[in-house]
Amino acid sequence: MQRNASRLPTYLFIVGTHTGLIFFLYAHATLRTTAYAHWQPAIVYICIEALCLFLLLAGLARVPGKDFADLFIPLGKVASLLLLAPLVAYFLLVSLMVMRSFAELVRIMFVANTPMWALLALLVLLFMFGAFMGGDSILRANVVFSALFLPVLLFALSSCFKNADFHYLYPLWNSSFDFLRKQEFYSSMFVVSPFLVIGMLPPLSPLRPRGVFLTMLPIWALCLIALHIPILVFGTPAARLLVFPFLATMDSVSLLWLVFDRVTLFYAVSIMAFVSVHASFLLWSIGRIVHKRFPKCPEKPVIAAAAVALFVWGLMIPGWDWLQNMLFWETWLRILAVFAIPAAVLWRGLILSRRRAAS
Amino acid sequence: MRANSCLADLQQAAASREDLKIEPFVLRGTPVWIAGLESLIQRAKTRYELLGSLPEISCSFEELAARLFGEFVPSSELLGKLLQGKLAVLSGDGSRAFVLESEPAELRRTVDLPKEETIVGAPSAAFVEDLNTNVGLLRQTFVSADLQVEYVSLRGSADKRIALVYLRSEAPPQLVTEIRGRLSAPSRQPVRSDQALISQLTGTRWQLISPLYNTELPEQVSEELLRGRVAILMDGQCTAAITPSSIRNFFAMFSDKHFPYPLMLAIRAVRIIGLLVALLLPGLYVALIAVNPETLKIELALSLAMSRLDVPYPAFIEIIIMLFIIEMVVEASLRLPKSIGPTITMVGGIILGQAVVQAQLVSNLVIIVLAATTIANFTLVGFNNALTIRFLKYSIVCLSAMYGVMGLFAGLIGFILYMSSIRWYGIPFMRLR
Repeated sequence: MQRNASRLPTYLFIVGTHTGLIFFLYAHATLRTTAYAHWQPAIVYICIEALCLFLLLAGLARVPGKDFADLFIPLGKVASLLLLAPLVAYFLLVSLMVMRSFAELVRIMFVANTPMWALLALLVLLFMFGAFMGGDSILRANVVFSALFLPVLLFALSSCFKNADFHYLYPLWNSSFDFLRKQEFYSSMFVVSPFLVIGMLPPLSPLRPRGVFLTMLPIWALCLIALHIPILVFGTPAARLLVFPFLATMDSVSLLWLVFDRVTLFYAVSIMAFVSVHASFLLWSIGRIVHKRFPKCPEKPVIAAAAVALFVWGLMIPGWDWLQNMLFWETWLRILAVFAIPAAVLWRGLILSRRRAAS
Repeated sequence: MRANSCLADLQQAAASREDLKIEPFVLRGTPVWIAGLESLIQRAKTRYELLGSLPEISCSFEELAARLFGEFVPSSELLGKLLQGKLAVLSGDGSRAFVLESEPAELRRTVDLPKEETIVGAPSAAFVEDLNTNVGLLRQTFVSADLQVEYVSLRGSADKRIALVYLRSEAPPQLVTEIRGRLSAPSRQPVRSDQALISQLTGTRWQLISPLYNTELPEQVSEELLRGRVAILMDGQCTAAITPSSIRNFFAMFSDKHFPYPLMLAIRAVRIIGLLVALLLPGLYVALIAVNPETLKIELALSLAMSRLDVPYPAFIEIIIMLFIIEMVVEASLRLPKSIGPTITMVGGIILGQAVVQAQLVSNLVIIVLAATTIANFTLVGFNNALTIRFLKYSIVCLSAMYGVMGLFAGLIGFILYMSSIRWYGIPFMRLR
């Protein structure tokens, strides 16, 4: 009982970080990869994530209690920098993208007249505050967020089925697999990236690979559902044109008995909680990794510097199109982070466990 | 050392403490001096009992001490003992002295019903100001050899006596050691209040959430002791401070357990909803009226807009003014004599409920929001906890005025993150066990 209770925050955290992305950017990212039969790229993404997660967990299980920094720093100055710098850069990029897109969504939904700098300032301050509180605090807060916001989010989602037309699912099969040749497929691969945060968890809470995989099963099911909700409501061609397919889908729902005009409100506030958890944890991880690599740099100033960088960078992005372009440019970084880091973790895990066995 | 140093010292002390009485007395043939503070002890009764407890044979001074269970103390400690309400017996030449328990003056309240925490269907004896009585109440509530009581001596003459109470089998030893260590560390200010106690325990005075959960119910304390917490009882306080506090203390009480389990869950759910309402409702009002009216159904948005058609200032100012007035009413009625209380309630009720709306200074809806917020606030367990939420809702109102619904939830997310980051003695505040 005690053991299970202590792992619950970890599993909920994995759900939370994924939720922030699945119901937010996932549908748009996957929809643009191909013209129809979107379950194919979605399944490929799931397989990629499962494979990388397997590598990561296999590595981490061999060296309990160690995170990315602990594993890579003993490799020496240059090698550790070569592995950790892209990881930190990638964490920063994911936070930036999540923050900037969320600001965009909020602007569309709630505060059309508020200047972007004011929105970004609020979000950055919130993320920085979370990061200052530390990784274990974020994990605990996420338990409360899950209790408060997951039911709300699921309610908002299920209300979308009111307008669903299941004929939009066809055609089911796309034998060309054209998405594999499109750059969109690779630039959208950030949707599988939340699993990387698991690499920062071991010092906070022990991981059990089987438990993590069992947690991923409903998440993957949700991925497929989240992808198909806009398709079921609007049809594939229309859904592909939308920047925030989810938002548009929610906006189409009208519940007479509800005090609020649209269920979008519920959707946006729940997403905000999970986006905050994700981004705060990424910022904290950046602080952690930099502090471990350069012990003279204390964590909090590093986090503050990263937050300032996020803010400035976020302001420099003029609009949504530019954000999409940025996704293209940093595809290489993403592929490195998603494939090379878990492989390196496995390699380090094997070496360290063998060394321990020998001694 | 002077021959009659004890007597001389006491006489010197009595010069500026006129309630300190020193008088010659003959105890079974031995001339002695007896000294005590007449404000703390009943002199006549004490003298009578002193004679009654001795056999009718002549005794030496040492024999007297032995028969009366006296404790010899040096001259330097004598005054301190007398200030604790003890009686001193000095030898005829005034060179030696022993102290013994005396009949105390009737300064203490008897055990009574709780004044602040009214409970339904549960034992309702409450703590009083006297430390020994309070420890006794705990011993009576929790009959077990496991119950440990430690008196911690704090430095400085103005400090009060403090007792640490815990269960040996439940409280983690490192927690008890940690609390004991922090209490015995040198303090910057005399530890006479909860604030000083908090700063002694945590090293800071700037925490919004207290590490102590105060209760005046012995039953509640024994419940918390079973959860491995430590109770700190301070002489002169009619509450026990349980530490480390947790989020549970915002909505759970032992008396809930007198109801069937599903009903208990329902009661606690009401309190949790109360917490959210007290924290969010004023902010939600500002957000929906001033920033995001479009999120409401059009009929509702229009009727809300109608209700504040003639209100001359923004929703933020409107609600802040009314919240302050409510705060003042709550604050004023706390210390009002019982006979004047209803007057203030009536004046407050009429002013807030009728006149302000009729004068079109605020809208009807604000009154409803305020009433709901205030009531929700007092569903929370513990006055301290309610105060924290009362205070924090202002930050959420400000964020809502700036960012609307998004600001409201940013505030809530920040609040939860803050609560999650709190640790007392390494134990997280956000835990349900």
